[in-house]
Amino acid sequence: MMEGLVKVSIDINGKKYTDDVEPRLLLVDFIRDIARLKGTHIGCDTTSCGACTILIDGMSVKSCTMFAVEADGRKIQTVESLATDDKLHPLQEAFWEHHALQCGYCTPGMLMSSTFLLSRNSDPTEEEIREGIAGNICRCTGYINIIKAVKDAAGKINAGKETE
Amino acid sequence: MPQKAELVVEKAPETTAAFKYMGTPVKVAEDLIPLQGKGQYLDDVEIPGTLYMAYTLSPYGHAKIKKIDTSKCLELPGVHYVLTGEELKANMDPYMQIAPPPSGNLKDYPLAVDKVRYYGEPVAAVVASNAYIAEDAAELVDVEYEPLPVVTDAEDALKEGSPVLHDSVGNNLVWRGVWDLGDAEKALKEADYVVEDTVKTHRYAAVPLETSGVLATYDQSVDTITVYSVNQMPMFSLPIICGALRMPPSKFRMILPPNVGGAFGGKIINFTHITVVAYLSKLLKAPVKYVENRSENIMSGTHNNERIFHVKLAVRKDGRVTGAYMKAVDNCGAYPRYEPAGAVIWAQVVPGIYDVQNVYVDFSQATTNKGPTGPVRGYSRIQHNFMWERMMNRVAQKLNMDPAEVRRLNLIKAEQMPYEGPSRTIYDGGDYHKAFDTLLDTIEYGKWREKQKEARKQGKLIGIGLSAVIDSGANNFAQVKIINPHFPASGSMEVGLVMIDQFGTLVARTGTTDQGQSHATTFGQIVSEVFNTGPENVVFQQGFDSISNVWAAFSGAYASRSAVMAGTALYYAAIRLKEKVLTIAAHALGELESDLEAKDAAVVSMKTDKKLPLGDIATLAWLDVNKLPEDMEPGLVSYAVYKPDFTYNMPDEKKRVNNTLTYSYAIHGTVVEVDPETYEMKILKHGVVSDPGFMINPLVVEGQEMGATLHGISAALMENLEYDEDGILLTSNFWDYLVAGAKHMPDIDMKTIVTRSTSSVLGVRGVGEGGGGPIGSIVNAVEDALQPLGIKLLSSNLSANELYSKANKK
Ligand code: FES
Ligand code: FES
Repeated sequence: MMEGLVKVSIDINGKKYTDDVEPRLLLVDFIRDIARLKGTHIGCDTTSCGACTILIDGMSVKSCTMFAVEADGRKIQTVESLATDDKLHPLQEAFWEHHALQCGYCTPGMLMSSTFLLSRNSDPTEEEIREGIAGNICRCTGYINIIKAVKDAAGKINAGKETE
Repeated sequence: MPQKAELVVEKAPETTAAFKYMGTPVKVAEDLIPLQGKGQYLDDVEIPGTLYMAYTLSPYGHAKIKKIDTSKCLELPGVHYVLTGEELKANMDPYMQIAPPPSGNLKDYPLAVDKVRYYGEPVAAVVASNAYIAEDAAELVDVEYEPLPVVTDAEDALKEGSPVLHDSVGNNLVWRGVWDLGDAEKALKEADYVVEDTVKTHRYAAVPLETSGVLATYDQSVDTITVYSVNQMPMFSLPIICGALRMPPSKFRMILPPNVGGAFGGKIINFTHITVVAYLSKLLKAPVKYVENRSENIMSGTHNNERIFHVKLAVRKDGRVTGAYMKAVDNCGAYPRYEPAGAVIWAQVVPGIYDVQNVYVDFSQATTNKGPTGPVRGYSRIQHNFMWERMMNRVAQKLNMDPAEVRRLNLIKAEQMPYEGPSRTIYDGGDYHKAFDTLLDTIEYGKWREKQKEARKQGKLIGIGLSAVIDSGANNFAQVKIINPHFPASGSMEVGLVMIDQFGTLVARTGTTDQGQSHATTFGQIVSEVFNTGPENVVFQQGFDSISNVWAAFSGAYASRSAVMAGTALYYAAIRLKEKVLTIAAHALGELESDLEAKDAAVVSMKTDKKLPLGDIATLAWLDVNKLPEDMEPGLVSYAVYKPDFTYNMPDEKKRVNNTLTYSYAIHGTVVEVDPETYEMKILKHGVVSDPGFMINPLVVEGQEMGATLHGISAALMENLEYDEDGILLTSNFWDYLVAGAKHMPDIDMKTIVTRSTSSVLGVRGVGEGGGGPIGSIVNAVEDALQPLGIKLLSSNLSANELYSKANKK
């Protein structure tokens, strides 16, 4: 191992990625450059925009606020994990339906924040959705369609649970 | 290319009912890509062996560079190179200037030469083996500065004795022009009232969520620099860059990745980054990448023009405005990089939405020690629209009339359409009264006026504000000749290419570049319509590559032009291709062309029901070519360059020209409540009624209008680039430069009324910039709310702090 490097092993979307990294390597750079999962984006350097939002052990986190070494041994989910076998996640379905994205740069972060929100609150009010995505900036859509999409997805997920 | 010399194409039919694929809110197929994290944005493009660049930035607003010591920086392991302005100056020419001399003598380089002129100006570019090292190393460049006096205000900058930014110019004036249209002086003389005031617009930025970035690589085998960038007008920027680097544009390949994370005008003057990175990649014979960090994007991405107006309106007793006389001064920051275009672009909307033919404008633009300005969503019209909307309220106050009444009285009438404004802009149809009345209903104007009365009795501060904007689209470059008659550009053009591949799939390309405007789906709908074939048979190629895309020198997505310009070019190209397809089919089927129609990826005979799939026609055209009609050129490629007629194509001696092809418009209404203790403002209601013309895809158009509304709200209530007297930007990151989030965005009641554009082929109008509509309605509403306190507002940006201190000063 090169001097000063630390061995890090992170489970991302069910796959283990191991590498020797500088202690100062940001988690977002580990995800993008080492795991080469480019869906997680970078939109700022002050942990303000949420474009880099992921889930760590189920908790939503801005991956630019953490060092990769802090995520050693933990389980991460990124936007790439949402669709399975090319079947969209209900949130992705709803975002599509409601044209809740334009340039799509904020979308992965929005989806991960919304996933977290719905995991904690399966039937959020509009206010709760606004609160849930308060840390995610979108410069294109004006948020209204995103809020509608999250609400709609929650409804569909719940309806699906009832029929199960 | 198979092209007919003469092409007569009817305008698209009048009613939406005539269409099958256009005019419907088709879900945006390309959304599926970023939704799954599969998009490719600039920073996702990778080339092995890439080096990373970072800038050393100026900590001063204005200072002489006495010495740059790069030794410490070069000692850091992993550092490959440090570039300074001095080296660049020796190896490139300064960028061409739009303005004629003396301000055209200004020397603009992408790195500071001899002195810095704004806070955050790049002084050196450091290249290292990774981005972390590059950023560390940039901090190690040791620059010795000698601070100089600073000027941040444009009016001050034009005063005798002001610090001068560019010695080669001699003063800070970029350009000055007078528009003397109709007879404003007479109107003022004959007016019952002269309503006079000062209006100011503040400085904010485009801030797309993805910042600008560049990846350049030099290919020795073909002596070509390949540049991946996010530039919005790649083929217009190319000669600017190549002129400076003294190389032919054909040796410079411009690529845009399939996804660009928003732009809003803020990705045009980033040609400075492209120049530096391209230069370094050739010098170091290695791929070099640079992605702006957010602070860099806020400091010198693109700011919009701050403007101050001193206005006098000629007003009749009944509230009719008969003339306007104004002096306007624009603050363009340290370098005019697209400026002084902004000094004429406001003239797209000279009378706003009102019927005023006598207008006198004395317009100046000045350089100051602030970041460079350029196109920001609603470029230069925001300011002018805002001025009109503030002044209409002043008229109402003076005459003690309802501001809605004053507006209604002055609106251009439907029967005056198409309306020729005093500067020969041709407003291409619309029903402003209908839109206005619809807006009043939408926000329940009358009811809120009643509520306001009640609220005031209880000490509550509720206000209602209105504003209207003209959102002009598809620019005529000839307007720049007002600034410089020798500027070698006029008119507009865009290219569409439609082809059918070997298996019969329709393929479309154009020179516009998508930044989130859903071009693939929208343009696919146009091709579908012409071929009467579902979207599954149409492939639109996203992204841009100057060696494989079609392009015109003006190609790009800016000035709300894509649907109008590229849409029309593709419509023409598709019709041309269909003609050839029908000719081949007629020959193969032994039928008359007039009995054939294109339908569902085939050509069918209306007479015999015989059918020939596009795949079979493609086989004939591309492979089995001896079976083609005699003399027919093989292949199925059609190409059309659309160059619109603006009627008044070139400016006359009075600076009159039709500056854009379409003029969409929107009316905004806001109800706010201001907390009487904290002066926090809360939007209780916001309505928008707009007329985008025929909507190829209503889902997309409404999305654009909603986005523009967000930008306006954010600009009025949050975003503010605040400089101190030393020229230091106090708001240079997302902690200080606040943009609206989901909690700040009120519910928006949005409606569209549609009248076809009288000047565009498809009846569409350019939309999406929105002209800053909500800014006027919010400021008017807040001032209305504060009326009991007698507080008068000046600027287009409001903060609770400022209101509080105004209220407590009294
Ligand atoms: S990039 Fe992580 S919050 Fe902006
Ligand atoms: S869709 Fe562009 S930032 Fe949200």
